[in-house]
Amino acid sequence: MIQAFQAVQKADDLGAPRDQVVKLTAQLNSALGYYNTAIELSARGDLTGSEQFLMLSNKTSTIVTAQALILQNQAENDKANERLGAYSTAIVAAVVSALFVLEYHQIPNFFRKRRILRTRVRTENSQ
Amino acid sequence: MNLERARVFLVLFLFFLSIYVAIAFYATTPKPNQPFIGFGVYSQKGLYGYAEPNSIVNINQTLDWMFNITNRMGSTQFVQIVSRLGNNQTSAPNATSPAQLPVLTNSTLFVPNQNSSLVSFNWTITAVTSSGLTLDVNGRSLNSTLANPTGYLYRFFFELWTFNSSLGEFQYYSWLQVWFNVNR
Repeated sequence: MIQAFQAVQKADDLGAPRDQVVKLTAQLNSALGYYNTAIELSARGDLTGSEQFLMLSNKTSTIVTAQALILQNQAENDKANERLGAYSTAIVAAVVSALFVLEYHQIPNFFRKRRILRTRVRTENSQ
Repeated sequence: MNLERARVFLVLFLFFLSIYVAIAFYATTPKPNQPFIGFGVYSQKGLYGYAEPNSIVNINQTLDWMFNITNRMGSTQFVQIVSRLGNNQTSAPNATSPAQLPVLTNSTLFVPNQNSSLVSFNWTITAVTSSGLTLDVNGRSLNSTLANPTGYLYRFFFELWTFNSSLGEFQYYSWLQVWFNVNR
């Protein structure tokens, strides 16, 4: 159960979606409930019942651990993609900004040329 | 001329890159926050200054209390609430160490981050003897060897412990107390 808890905690640290982590925590609480019942039954001398609840607790913990590991991988991938997206955007934005500043003086020329071209086309059409 | 333009482009590119990379780093880095975990005890009748409204508990009177544990630690926490019975002679826990009294009850649960969880604490005093109190807490019968002369107050100490994964054990975090008198 502690292993399952540590896996959920790591998924949380990596930024796994909160609703998914809350679900896993609820399952952890179920595993803890089964474990406590097993201890109570054992104290009362019901060893068979205790063993069944202990197995149920272990099974739930194993499921939680597996799901937490999947969440960890997803969270890591999401984080890596987010970083990749952010830094790629930064590089593209830097290229565009550098080109904009470098070619800034040509922008008025560009618009002037377009205006002249449009005027010429209109004149030719009217003739 | 082209080489000169390429040089200027490179300088401008590096200049803008440093700005945009700083923005990207800020956007993708988790923001720092102050982690904390806290708990409170609530009663349907309300608790005045952490005492029942009349602070007198009758024999066989059941009090339904509820703990609310709030987790803002940044990750799921495994917590333990330890209850101990004391009186005005016993020393209370402090900010760094728990009370040196026998443990009465012990509840454990997992609390998700940015969430609150409730734990019930339903208790009844079933008998008062010269050697102490007999209580029923959450359906379990318990005996306390803490005896008090008539008219003297008892108090419950509730301690919040959190599980430290690296040490593999619960660590004491904080505490609160509720005073009460027993109507014999």
